[in-house]
Amino acid sequence: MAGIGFELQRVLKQGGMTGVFKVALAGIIIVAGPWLISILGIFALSRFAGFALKEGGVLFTAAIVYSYAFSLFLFGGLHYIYTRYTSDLIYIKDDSRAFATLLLSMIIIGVLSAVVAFSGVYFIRTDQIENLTMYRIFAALLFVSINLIWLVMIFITLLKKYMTIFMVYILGMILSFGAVYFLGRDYKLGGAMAGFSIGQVSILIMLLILIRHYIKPGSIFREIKPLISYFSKYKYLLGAGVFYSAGIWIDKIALWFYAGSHVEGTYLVLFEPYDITVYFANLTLIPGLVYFMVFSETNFYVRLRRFLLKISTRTFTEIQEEKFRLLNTMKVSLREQSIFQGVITVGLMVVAGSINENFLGGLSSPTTLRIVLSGVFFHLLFLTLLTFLFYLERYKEAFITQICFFSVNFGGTLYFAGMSTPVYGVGYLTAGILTSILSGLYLTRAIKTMDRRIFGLLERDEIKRGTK
Amino acid sequence: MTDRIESNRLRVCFVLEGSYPYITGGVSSWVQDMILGMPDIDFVLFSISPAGEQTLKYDIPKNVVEHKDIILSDLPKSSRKIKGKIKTLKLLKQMHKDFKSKAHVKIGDILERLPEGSYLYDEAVSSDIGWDMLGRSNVQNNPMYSFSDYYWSWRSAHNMIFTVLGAQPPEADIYHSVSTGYAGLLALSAKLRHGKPFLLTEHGLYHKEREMELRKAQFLRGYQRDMWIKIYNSLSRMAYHEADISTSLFEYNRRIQLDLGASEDTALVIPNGIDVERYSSVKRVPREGFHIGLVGRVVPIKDIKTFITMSRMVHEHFKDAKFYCIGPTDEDEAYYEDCKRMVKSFNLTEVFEFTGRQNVLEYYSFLDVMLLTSVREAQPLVILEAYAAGIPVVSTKVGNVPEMLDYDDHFLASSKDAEKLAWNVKYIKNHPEEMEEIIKSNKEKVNTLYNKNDLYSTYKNLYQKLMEK
Repeated sequence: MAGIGFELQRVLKQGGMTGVFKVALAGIIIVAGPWLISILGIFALSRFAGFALKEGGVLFTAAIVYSYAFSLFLFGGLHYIYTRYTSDLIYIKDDSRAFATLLLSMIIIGVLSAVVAFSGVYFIRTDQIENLTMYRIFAALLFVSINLIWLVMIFITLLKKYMTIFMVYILGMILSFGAVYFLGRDYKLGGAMAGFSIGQVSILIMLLILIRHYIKPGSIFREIKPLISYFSKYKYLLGAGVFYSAGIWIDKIALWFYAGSHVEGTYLVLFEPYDITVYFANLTLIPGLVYFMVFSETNFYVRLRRFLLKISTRTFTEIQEEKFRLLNTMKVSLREQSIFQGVITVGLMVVAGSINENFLGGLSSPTTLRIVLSGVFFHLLFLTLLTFLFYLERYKEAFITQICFFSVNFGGTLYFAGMSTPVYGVGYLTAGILTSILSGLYLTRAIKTMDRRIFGLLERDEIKRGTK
Repeated sequence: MTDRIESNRLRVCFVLEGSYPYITGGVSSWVQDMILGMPDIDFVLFSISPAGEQTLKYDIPKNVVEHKDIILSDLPKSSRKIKGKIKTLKLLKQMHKDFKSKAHVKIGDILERLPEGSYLYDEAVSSDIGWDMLGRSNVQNNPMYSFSDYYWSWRSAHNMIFTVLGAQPPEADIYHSVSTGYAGLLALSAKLRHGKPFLLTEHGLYHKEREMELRKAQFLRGYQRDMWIKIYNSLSRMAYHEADISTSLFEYNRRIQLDLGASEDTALVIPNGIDVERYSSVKRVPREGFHIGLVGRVVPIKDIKTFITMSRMVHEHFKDAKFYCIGPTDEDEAYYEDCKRMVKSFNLTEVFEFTGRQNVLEYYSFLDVMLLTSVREAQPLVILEAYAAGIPVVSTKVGNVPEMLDYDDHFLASSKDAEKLAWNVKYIKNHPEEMEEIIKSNKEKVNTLYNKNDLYSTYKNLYQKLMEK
């Protein structure tokens, strides 16, 4: 995503508050568009259209939460392969093939997610909803549309039309709200679900129209074979994606089934004290992610590129100097980003009690909130390090770090939840800290050995091509 | 193959590099003669080639029971694991230090950890020790040029060594290398792996020949040239030090071997030999005119251009003179084209002939002078052949040639000195009576000192001696 960073840095350099505002908005949409819209949507609906959710507000929320959770838990790994393949096509400036790949991936993920969704909603049997079939159909549609929006969002940044994308989201949110309002009035929870899903589908359609306006897709069938080959070629990337996507949800899912309670009349489980804490704390990730995208990632990329350009022409000493400049850039970026995020985290930790009372309805506890806020801080840190590892193509190391994150988060969550006085969020925090340390060590090593690996790779390529 | 081993016949493995059976030339002919001349011994060929799928240039004799190739440009995948990578790399680092300080290099410790079929290509650069070694060496030797160039030079030089070190030598009773360099290293590796003796026969001096080529190569940068020269010197040093017996064709070369680590007791001089009967049986049928021939490949090392220049000078004095360049022309076609252009520009087309590969005996029957203009030779067989056939020889002062020509200045000239060569030829033409005496004495010399039959028995004795060790 360094390309977006460049674009946003360019806007920022124009100066003035408008530039800062534009960058902030675009950044927020890119890093958190779909889930931010959902959180705000749920908030607005419960505040202004509560009547539509009267039949079962929890069931409505559960459908949305499960859609997000399992869209990433099940298919997040595939996003990484898709992203890698698309990036390679964009690198060779073949946008039409990239669009064809988007459509192909949408078909594959669409079918797979539809199978999961319809199986999932089939088992929701409750008497409390008047229009259960409607609820089921649109809950399934919501799951499928969220899965597809993830893919479109990965692609859409290519267009660099950030304000248009923002407007699409606003329009979709308004449409969603209106649809819930009117359909919810007539068809109750089933209608509300339909309205919300229609909003998501409309965002998806508008984004696709936007893409089609600028790019003509190539042949979908042409992409099947090469895309499949990426699964074996980048198996560690796939693994890293699978474990990261599963890892960020495993603490929630573990607590749902360990300490949560069933949504009345369904098999769906939620654990509100932890869920609400995490959803709130995750919002604090947004500024850090925007900072990462605009500054950390872009600066790292610039240095890396400079290093790569020099490696074939400069002396050994110059290469070493450039390598240590890259290492330094990485450290400075991490430090500054951590200070930026740290200020937000510490500030919120100080007022955690008040946040719990006023924003979370006292459902969480200040301790849990503080732990999760700290966890989010480290989440951002290791996510940054993970991205840098991807830049250096250290997929195996990235895979190991994500196994670490998944396992520690899962194990730690269950361990601390099982204590006589359960503590929630410690698994997530511990996983974040350990994964950050592990990723940091791997990254430092990767940068230090980068020159030799590049020469080694070039040689291996030559051997593979049979030139030796 | 197993039957052969069990048949108690001696099994000698010739370790060859860039020669027999793919390239013609002095060394290759020598190997072919040795194999044919000792039919009671089984031979195994272990040849190192720069590239695969080469055409055989010789009919392989029946007593060659196995032939294995190593392609230097190949980087085979390791089929076995290195025992203790870090220790092995530390030993490799020490080996480089020893090379530098010209100390004795103990390669056995490395080979112990490096089973056959395991290669150090990756570890040499991907490990901390390997990269540190490469980086330091670069900073010392190449601080100004791009590292990339240095890296690839280092890799190509070292990868070939790793290919040789990881190679699987065929089974044999004796490993007989006909040069130092990669062949010497391969024979040394075979000796240490199989615990069998290593015999080194040098016709020229491998490292000197390579150095000369490197100094001429214009595409190489200074440090690259130095690196290759150091490597070749080190390979020779190792081979001389570890060979159970090393032989050279003449004393001067033996002295150089001794300087580089060969032992006084085991460094021997064994001159080349020819089939004296075959060449002395040539019936001389003098032809009209004056006929000067050069037997050799049309390649720069034979310096055919000096032969052409000399021909022009001789032709100015003797209009009936004719010149024959007798040997293959397909080895360096660009050079051959150059030579042809030169002949044309000197207006010698009518009197100068590139014969291609020919039966030299036909030419020995009428040539009046045999010429050798090489810039590098060891102990050229063509001189011995000419002596046996009764042809006087004029040559440049290279290798053992001055000794072969009794240091007689009437027949010797410095390299590239076409004028002196022409003077020598004219001297022969103008002194027929003196030549008769010289031809007679040359025939006797060949018969006594350079008889191939003696050579076979000498080598058989050496093999026997090595087996008894």
